[in-house]
Amino acid sequence: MKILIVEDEADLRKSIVTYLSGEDYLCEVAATFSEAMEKTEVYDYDCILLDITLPDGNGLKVLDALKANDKADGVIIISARNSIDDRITGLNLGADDYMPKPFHLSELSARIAAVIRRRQFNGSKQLVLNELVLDISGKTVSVDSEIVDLTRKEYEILLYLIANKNKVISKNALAEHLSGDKAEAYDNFDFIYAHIKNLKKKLITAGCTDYIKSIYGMGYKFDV
Amino acid sequence: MRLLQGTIRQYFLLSLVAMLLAIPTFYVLIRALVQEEVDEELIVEKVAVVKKLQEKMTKNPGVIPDLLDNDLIIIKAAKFIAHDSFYNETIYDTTLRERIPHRVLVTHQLLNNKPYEILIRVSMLDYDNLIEVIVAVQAFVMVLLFIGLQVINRKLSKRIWDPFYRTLHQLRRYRVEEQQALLFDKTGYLEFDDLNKAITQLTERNHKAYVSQKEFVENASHELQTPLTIFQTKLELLMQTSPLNSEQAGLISSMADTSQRMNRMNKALLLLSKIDNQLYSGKEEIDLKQLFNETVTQFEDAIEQKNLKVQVGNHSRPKVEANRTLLEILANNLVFNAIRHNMAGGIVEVSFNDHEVAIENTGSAKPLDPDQIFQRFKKQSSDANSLGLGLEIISKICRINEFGLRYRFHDNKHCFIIDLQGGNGKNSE
Repeated sequence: MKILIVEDEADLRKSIVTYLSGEDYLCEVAATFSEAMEKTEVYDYDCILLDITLPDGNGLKVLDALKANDKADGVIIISARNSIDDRITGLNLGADDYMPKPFHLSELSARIAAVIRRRQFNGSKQLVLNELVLDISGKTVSVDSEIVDLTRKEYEILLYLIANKNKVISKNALAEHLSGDKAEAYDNFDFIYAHIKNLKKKLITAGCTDYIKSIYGMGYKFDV
Repeated sequence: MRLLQGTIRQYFLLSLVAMLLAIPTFYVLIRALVQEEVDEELIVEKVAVVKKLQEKMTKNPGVIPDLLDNDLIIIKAAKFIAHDSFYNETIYDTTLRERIPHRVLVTHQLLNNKPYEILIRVSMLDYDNLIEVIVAVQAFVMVLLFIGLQVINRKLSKRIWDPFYRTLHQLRRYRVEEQQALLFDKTGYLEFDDLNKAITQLTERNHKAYVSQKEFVENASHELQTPLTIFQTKLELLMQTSPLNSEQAGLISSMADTSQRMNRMNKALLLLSKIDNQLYSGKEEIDLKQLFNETVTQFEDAIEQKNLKVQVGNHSRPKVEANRTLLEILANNLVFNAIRHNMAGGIVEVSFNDHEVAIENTGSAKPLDPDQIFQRFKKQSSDANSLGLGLEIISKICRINEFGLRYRFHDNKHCFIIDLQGGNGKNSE
């Protein structure tokens, strides 16, 4: 799947490319507004990561042009200015998502996956990983066609882990994904540990391979 | 003491002293003058009397003639004293039945070569009455003058000080974040115009300093967002490298925690500057009980993890007109604090009455220092995750909405009280 990363910060661009390239993505980059306009005119992308504060223009204009040309590219806005106005303008212009900086790469990856899923699977939205099947629209999980009864949080964790499969996800990123800024209210990340423990137990009981690995207390990884 | 009272008090003292000194002095002076006059009259009369006596005595030597005058006494004297003398005497008047002051002249005269003592008296009654009336009138005039002075003084001072009080009033209402500078009308008094000019300049500089500080914080936090993102993403990439041993994993982990903390702090600073920039302006009616209920629901997991007992509200349902986003942040921060600084199995209690919201929680047994509590970065817990900005945000939102904010430690519980009608909490000025 083709992703265009429009970001003027070279280091950040490199990070994103490195992280995403390991997955099923083909990454292209644009460092400036004009470069972004050029590339979006010529090629189609499954998802565009769009920084709106570019040295030579406002990223929102790229979005404008896409819509004017009836392009179906998914767009995730990345912005250092986490203002409600930017968010609303962006989403009104047809962006699929809005990510304020700073963000976790794992979160970005999960959002890209969600955008692409929304745009591609029309009809049955299913994620299949060997014996494990996630029904995205029904939010259900089954192992060998047997439904596994998961809580909402467990389902979200599983989806997040799968979106970042074979990657170590930090506990911070996971906690933030689950609770947003409410994550600060926790004394520690024991609650994640508890959720993961339950999730693993349920999957193994259902006959699923133990894909979820804890990595030195640093985070978790869905190893497939 | 007011300045006005101070000056009036001084005037009053001076006037009192002047009156107390002036009236007796005046009395004594008039008396002396009158006496002198009377004495002169007596001498003139003496000359006339002596002349008459000499005439009569020459005609009838040896006989003291009766001059048919009660106020004239002539007796033979033992010896002759050359100079005259005066004295005062009170004589009981049988007709008037009262004691009447008299002035008496004593003179010795040689009549037919024999010494005679002649006493000439004159009643001072009329003069005394006159003096009394004059003094009384004088005193009355002085009292009148004194009262008049006070009244005029008070009125005048009020009018003169009026620009001062107007300036003071404006200064009290001055908010550096809202007003560019304080402008004043011309008062017509040089001193006050100078004062007002100085205040205008001061507030203008103040506002400029405030704006530049605000912009600095805003720009700094915006500029920090990108490096923070880069740092965080590099850490995530570092996590993906292999082989990774547990020591390295531990280091990365604690760096990730630190990076998270920096992110949060930056976010809080950004929020503060957004509040300062009045990006949250639209107002609507908000049901506080509902707001807090919703907020508490969002913290469900954390509450469960700490095994807290949370209770929201009684019968009262206060409503306020305010910006929803701001009040959500306010409720969020208050509930967050109450949970964050609580102990396992503790209590959080949110209660309402018509004009107050109180958030009470168990926690450390030591009360917080009320002087430092609402100051930026004054952390009162050793908790590394505490930013020291939460209460600053709370305090700022209260200030914008003109709510009062108080802290109380009572019954081993920390309690924050928001007074919806302002009150005089920490925030009132």
